[in-house]
Amino acid sequence: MKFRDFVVRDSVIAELAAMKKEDALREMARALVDAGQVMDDEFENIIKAVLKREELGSTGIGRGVAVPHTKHPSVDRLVGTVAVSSQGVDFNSLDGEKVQLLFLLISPPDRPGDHLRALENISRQLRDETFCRFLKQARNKDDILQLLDEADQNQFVA
Amino acid sequence: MSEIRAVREVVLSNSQGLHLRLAQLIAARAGGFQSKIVLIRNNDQVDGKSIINLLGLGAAKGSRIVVQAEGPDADEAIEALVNLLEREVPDLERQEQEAAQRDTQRNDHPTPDEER
Repeated sequence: MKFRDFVVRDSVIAELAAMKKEDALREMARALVDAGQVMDDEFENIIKAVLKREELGSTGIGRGVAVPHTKHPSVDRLVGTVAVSSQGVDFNSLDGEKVQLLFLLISPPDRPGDHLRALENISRQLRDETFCRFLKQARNKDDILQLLDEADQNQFVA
Repeated sequence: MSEIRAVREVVLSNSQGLHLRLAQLIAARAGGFQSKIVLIRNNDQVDGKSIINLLGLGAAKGSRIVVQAEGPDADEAIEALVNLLEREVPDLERQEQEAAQRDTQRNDHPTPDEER
């Protein structure tokens, strides 16, 4: 699965304003609502579900990356968004570092395979330090989208 | 110090596959051993102590995974990881499914207060 298969382009955030976990999740989910991919009346419900997942253990996976996610019946396909934070968000990551790259994933409950393939893609791309560094340095939406497109064309992974 | 190499194959049986929380569990368990631990699926070989690398396996339910440990505590490491994947994780999933079912039942039968 490629980034373009699940990242909603209009919802990508280049300068995340939030510095705390819940605020960051709200900002990102709101972007998905604004992009027409998540229904407004499901917004609070989705935030609640994502936070509940975080209670099981932070999705901050190290290297300044977090992959908050939930299954939710209101989406009929996997939708995701990407946010870059220059100052970093406190995400209670395992390594104690703030996160600068956030990938929010919302998937239909009956499609665990899609969720896995999105996680696989994100983690494979982020293993490449150049991609990871460039993405953290991206300061506008076009730069982020271009990097994701280049990653989709295998320009980073050997 | 004696170097031992131990190898075992497991089949992922939980419905969600090698998702993030499982990757965290494996990395934490593997991190408790001195041995070098790698997980292999098809031609992919990744560091068993790295969450990001483990997620890169994209292993779904039914995937065959070879667990390999090399080092002074390789045998113990393999035992611990195979036990985690073959027993603890399916048990945990069963418990979570039961808990989710209880939640659903509660929602299906609202208390009189909620029914109004």
